[in-house]
Amino acid sequence: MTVLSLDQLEAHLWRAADILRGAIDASDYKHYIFGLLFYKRLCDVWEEEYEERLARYGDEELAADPEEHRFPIPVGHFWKDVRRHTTDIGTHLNVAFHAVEDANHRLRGVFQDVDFNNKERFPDAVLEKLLQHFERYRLRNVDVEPDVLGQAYEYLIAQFADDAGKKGGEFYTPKMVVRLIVECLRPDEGMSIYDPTCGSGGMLLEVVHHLERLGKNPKSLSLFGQERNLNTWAICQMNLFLHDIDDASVARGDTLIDPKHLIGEGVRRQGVDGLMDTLKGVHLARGAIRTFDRVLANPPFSLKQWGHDVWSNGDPFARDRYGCPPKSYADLAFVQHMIASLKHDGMLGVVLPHGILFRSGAEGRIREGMLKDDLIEAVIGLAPNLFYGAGIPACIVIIRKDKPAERKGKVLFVNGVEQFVEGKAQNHLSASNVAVLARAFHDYADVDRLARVVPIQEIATNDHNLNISRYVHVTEDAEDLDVAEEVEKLLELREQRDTAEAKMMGFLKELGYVPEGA
Amino acid sequence: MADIVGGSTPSKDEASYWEDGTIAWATPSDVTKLPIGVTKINRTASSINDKAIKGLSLRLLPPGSVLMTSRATIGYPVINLVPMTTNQGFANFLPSRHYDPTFLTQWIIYNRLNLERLAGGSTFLEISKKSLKSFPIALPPLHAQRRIAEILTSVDEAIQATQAVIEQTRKVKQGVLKRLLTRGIGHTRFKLTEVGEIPETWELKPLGELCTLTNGNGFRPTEWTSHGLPIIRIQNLNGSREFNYFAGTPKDKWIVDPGDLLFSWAGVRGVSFGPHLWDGPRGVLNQHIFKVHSCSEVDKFWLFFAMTLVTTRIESKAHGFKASLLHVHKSEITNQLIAVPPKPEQEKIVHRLNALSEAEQASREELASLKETKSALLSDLLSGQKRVFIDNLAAAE
Repeated sequence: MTVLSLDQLEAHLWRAADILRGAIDASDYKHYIFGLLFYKRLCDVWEEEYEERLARYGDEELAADPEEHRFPIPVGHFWKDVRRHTTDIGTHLNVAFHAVEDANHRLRGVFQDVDFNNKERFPDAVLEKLLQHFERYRLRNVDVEPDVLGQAYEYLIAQFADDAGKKGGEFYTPKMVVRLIVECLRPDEGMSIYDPTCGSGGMLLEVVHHLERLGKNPKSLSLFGQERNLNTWAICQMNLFLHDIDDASVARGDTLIDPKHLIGEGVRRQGVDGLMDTLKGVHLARGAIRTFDRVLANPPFSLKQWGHDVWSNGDPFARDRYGCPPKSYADLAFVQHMIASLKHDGMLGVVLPHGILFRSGAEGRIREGMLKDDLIEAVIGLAPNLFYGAGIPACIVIIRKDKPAERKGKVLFVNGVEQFVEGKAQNHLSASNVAVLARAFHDYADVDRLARVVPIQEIATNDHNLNISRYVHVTEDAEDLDVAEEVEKLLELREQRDTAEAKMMGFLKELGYVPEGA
Repeated sequence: MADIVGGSTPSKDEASYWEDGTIAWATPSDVTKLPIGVTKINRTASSINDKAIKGLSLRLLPPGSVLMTSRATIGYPVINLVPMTTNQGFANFLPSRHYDPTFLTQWIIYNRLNLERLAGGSTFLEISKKSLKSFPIALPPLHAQRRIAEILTSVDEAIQATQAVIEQTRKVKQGVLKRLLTRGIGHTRFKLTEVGEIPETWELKPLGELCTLTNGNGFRPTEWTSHGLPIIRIQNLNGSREFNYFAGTPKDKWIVDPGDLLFSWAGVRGVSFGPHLWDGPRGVLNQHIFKVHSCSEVDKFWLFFAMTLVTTRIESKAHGFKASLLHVHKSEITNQLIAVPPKPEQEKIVHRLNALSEAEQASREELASLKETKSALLSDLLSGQKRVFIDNLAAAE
């Protein structure tokens, strides 16, 4: 059997969506298709392992032993078992899903929102058609590159983000924007990586791809994530699984209110630590925020109802070091969470709306605090209209607690407003756009119309305003107009006009329109 | 009279049609973006290759054809100077011994409204080749066509030349403005300040010390009436005279009199954003516009020019909802540092800048009258009722 190509798989999944069209909301397709595809893949891989063992041992019982498999699938709940039924297919699918979840601790909850047991929505005829459709391709490891399948996942997420408009866009960051952050952060072997709003896991995966591209070992990474949206979290789990990443720790929950990656839970009761906590003024009642080598995220832009009421009384995890952000703008709460999650020699990159660069009030004070602590290493402005459903311009902020000596007391501004490829609905970043912006960051030097290294004192005199165009101009400046030269041109143009008018008047005279003597 | 052919669009997904394209391929926007009066085209934004021509059996138009937009925007003609293809938004007249291409373009411009009336289509207007072919044209002999084309072209050229003069006058005015407002008149000694070198006798002051700014009022749609005082909105600053009216009792600070200095602090970059001298009737001021009250040491007109200068500075640093729309805080205006000359010098500066404004205005009026001349001539020469003229001209040749 030949290896399934990316194009084939994309078309295959798209046709699956066609079968579901009308039955459920377009924005829900992906959960169902992903769920089913994932289940099919589990079964196929298990069978592949089974056949391989059987050929090796010649013993059916041994070949089916859970010890011989990466993951167990309980007896009677394989794809082929579900396919034996011609009625109540939805019920049998659901039962199988739950059996797989129960048997695999890591997968607990991934099928939570995939409920085929509803005959109104999914009559047996539709499910029969859908399952038949999925049987057209076998999804063993020999049939698909583990990566190709994950890539197709991302493709579908992109498609459905498009389909579902703004709502979908919430969790999909354009791939090249992710790549740009990763290129700036340069994650390396052995590092711990954390995305506090990881969505479908695109950023974590890009870190993996980054190491692969460099010929390094991505298995040496430790990946961490947290995601609030249940469906998205489930997709993330499957996505990571399909990319053959077994040991990522992606927790479910609201990062701002209930951060899941903590250390030293309950240590408060121990004398010395308790004393230290008191000295630091840190509340460790629920444990402290765990720190990582690289932290990267694209939090939802200007999230409302983010937990202002909790933070305004002091964040229990002491992440509000620079202040509590406004009620309807969570952006700087996420940033402060990320700073709290960053090791002393770590580095973080975050996608943010431009507003946080210049809004005054609480956000101005937070910005000022971060600048005074010399955390901000670079602000990279992106071209407008790169995001699904959000035309507003975004930027990437790079933060380090311990900047290299030559960058201390400075912020690099990169104005990427001219770096994009025009598209019909959206603009895009090309590989060379990403290269230009990443190089501007790593060079950390002035480049005309692109980048400027600005001393923090200058930013302070600007009220700690980080608005990029304030520091890197790309608009034409009327400043250096040479008046003498322009006047010269004007005289020339007037002469040309006089000649043109004289010629015209000549004709008009011939036609008898001009009075004698005029 | 002539062969009319259409065009089409090679599939954008088929990269092989577009790779190494060397053959110009026109879309209506290639035509509509040409400056007014330009009716010749030698380049297009996109190009296609031989494969596309063969694949779609596209007709390659020889130079000297007349390409006319026939879809959505109707009746904009150009003559191609190089071999060219077009998309489906055109009806193209192949060269013929019956007509002069320039004459045809003038004829199309003259008949634009009639052609639009001829067009049908539900989503956008489109004129079919069939109805175009049946549209009557009064065609004088070729030598007369050429003569008429020559005359009309001379007017077009005068229009273009005048347009260029206006633009260049504006550019010069900007340069002179900047020079007069930073170097003044006849100074030899300068000092270095935050805004660069300025005459030694001038003072550097934040704009907020030269004037006070009062905001307009947010008039709600329910307060709009058809009589009373006009409500001055941002669009009115750009010359629109369409007003909503306010019939209530206005507060003193809302009142704007002709000649008052206003500053629009939200608006389109380079258009409505910035200072304006109100040239309309007495009215009340809407929100997003400041009324500028200059202090006694300051000449109002000088302040207008000084604000024009800082507007570029504000614009380059302002944030906006979109790239083009600006929105600033009051402090971003009042914090701007301005080099302030003594009042008599302010007046001298105003005098000089006004001379340039008047020159620009004169050219504008000239342009308007040239355009009127053109349309009157079109009608005289193309209506077909001035046969005598044409025959005379033909005889004279």
